[in-house]
Amino acid sequence: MPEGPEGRSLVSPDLVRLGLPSTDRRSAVLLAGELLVSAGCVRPEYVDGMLAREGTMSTYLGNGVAMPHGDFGARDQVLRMGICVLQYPDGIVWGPDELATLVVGLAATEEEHITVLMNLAEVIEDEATARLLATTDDVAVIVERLTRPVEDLDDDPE
Amino acid sequence: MAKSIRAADVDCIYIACEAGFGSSLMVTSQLKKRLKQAGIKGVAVRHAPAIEVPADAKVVVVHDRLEAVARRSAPQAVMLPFSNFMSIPAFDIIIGALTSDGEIAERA
Repeated sequence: MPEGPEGRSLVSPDLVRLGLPSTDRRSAVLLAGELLVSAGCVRPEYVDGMLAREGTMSTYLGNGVAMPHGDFGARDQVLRMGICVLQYPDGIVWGPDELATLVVGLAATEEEHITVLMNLAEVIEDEATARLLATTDDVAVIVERLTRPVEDLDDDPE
Repeated sequence: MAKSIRAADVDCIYIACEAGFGSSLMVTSQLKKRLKQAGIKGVAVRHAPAIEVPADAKVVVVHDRLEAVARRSAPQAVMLPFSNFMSIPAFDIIIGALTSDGEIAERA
């Protein structure tokens, strides 16, 4: 399993919640924020930045995936990288024409979470995978799918 | 006025979003992958918050909600906005121009 700095898994199974009852967007963002705070990834103020960000611009990506994270001003409230995953099998109305079944909360400063973002990019392009992640009752499936090794694209000419 | 730039003059493409560590990073890796699949070398892809896009950036891919902010950061840049993460037209515009030695142009 790919690991972040200090040997932590990029997605800790402790921060995955499956089969949650549908709620509203604000409650989902608050839950994602609480998980990141309780895991010591962010200061409580970061959650305000997460709510602010959704207010100015939705973090819905497509295919049922939303990716709430703090806004520009909240970057200083990140203590260490963390990712939480909330699964809402019946979906949450995230915005107009936006139904989120997988809510991925991000706390990040460096690019250490790029593997998860690249895997998410594949999920938003592939309906079958999106459906799998929205319906699985196995935390390991979520963790594996979001942390599987990706092609190394770091070939910046500089 | 809609701007354009010769693809041969482009050595770096910026992807801009709000905070600079979420969707912009994801879109950056999507574009890197597309460039690699197209066999294009020598063009870097970098991500930045819209308010921190360097003033000398030449080509910027940005969510349309942040286009105005990115334009203030890099007034001279060719700005390629998108509205849907699942379908970013800028990718085809960039790759088409780079592979045909054409121009990367803003929508008129």
